[in-house]
Amino acid sequence: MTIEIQNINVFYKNGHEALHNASCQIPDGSITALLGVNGSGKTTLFRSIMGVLRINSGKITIDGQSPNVAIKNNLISYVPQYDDIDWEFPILVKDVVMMGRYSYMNFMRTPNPVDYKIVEESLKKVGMDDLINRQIGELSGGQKKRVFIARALAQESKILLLDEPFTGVDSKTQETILELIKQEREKNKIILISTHDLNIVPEICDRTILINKTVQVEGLTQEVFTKENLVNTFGNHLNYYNLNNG
Amino acid sequence: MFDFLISPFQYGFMLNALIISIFISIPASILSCFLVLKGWSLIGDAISHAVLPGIVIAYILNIPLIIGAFFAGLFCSLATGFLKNNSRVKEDTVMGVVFSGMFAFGIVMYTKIETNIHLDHILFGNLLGINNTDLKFSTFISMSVLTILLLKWKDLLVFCFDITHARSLGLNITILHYGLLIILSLIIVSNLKAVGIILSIALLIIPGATGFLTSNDFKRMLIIATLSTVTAAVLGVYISYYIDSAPAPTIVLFMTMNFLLAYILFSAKKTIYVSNKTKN
Repeated sequence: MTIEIQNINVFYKNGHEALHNASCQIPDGSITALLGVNGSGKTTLFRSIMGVLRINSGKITIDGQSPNVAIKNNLISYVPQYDDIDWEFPILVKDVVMMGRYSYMNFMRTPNPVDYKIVEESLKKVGMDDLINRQIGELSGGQKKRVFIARALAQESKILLLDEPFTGVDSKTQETILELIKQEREKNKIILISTHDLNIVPEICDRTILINKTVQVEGLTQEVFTKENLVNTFGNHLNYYNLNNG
Repeated sequence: MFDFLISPFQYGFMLNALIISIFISIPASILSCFLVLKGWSLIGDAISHAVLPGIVIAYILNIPLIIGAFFAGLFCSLATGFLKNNSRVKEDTVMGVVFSGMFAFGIVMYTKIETNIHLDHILFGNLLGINNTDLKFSTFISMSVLTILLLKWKDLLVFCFDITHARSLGLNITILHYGLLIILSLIIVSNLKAVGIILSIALLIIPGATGFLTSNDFKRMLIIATLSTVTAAVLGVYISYYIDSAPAPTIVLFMTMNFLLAYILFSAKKTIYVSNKTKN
């Protein structure tokens, strides 16, 4: 299974071009890093893969299917950025994770024992099984992120999209997330992570996509993740991203 | 003593007022929770105002006023969506333009035609003038909407909470979006006769706001929103008889008091809880 993105262009309503002629391939059984400055089109690419944004030209196929069909087949789960969630929302940790199971449920979304079991296991995997009755706003930044990772795990999709999973999390959470996505890779999944934390990239990401309004370069991390390429993508911002051994 | 307590309900119109208030409170409270969480409170306000030209046109065409009201409400939400998607103006701004324009158009038409409908009744409702047909109509709409909300509340909740996740579950976002708008228009129409345009806004915002203040999870929010509004409806109708006021505004006053009570009891508690947590 692969995600194939061929020459896509995405325009916003105000005429701003978010992605220009972007192409890349994301294979399964690997972790792919999506790197670029703010506003470079990372989230736009995610939203295009999910079919939330209409692409103006080009083509996206997921295992040969259009994003709409792939979504219907429960192929994609998504871990949102911190700012995309209203943390005052009256919802408990266990209910958020149960939302990951909705596509397996009946018309009224009644959970069965299997759903409860998978929710419990997912919460255990992220180490949140003792906080299931907390309202989501009562958690720390790292705990919040782990709840949404648990939801994605409970969804059991072939593709896992993580939008800035390491922003604002403690080191324990980062360790947990890294360990879990490595396990998910073993299940032959497609894992795509957008991140600001360049240091984790050579550590766990098999492939890297550098993006700045278009895909500048993509391929195996050891070939793509070079200082020259990074300077090209991040320019003067590179110091800000605090790369230790570039 | 007992005779004194039940004395308001020896009048048929008082009993009708009580029954219809309770019937419209329940689905409106539940819908209100979704609107507050989705940040759509203003849409309820807008659609409520926008039904006026529909009512006047329906009167001119001699069709049921309710049908005119429903289509005007729907037109308002569709026009808002269209203008927002095809311009740079933000949604709340567009909505303000659309609904005030429609409301003004309704008033201008109203003043130009001879009618036997009272503007007062459209604006503030006529809870004591409810007849059996109105009662049946409102009950039918309320119960239908309630059934839909109870069957699909989980889908609507994901839609309000995390729209990208709703999408990843394969839910049809367009149907949920417009479905919620249609339900909103239906509720406004069914509330119209009883509480009027202005006060139906209260029914769409205050229950959700009260529930939100008091709850950490959604089911509790639904229950508190509904119970507090039904209580306000019963008290409002009842007390209005003794103090000789109009029942609809009295209901809204009780709803506002519930909100303030929730604010005092729960927000204060939350602040203390948070400050203790910061200290530790």
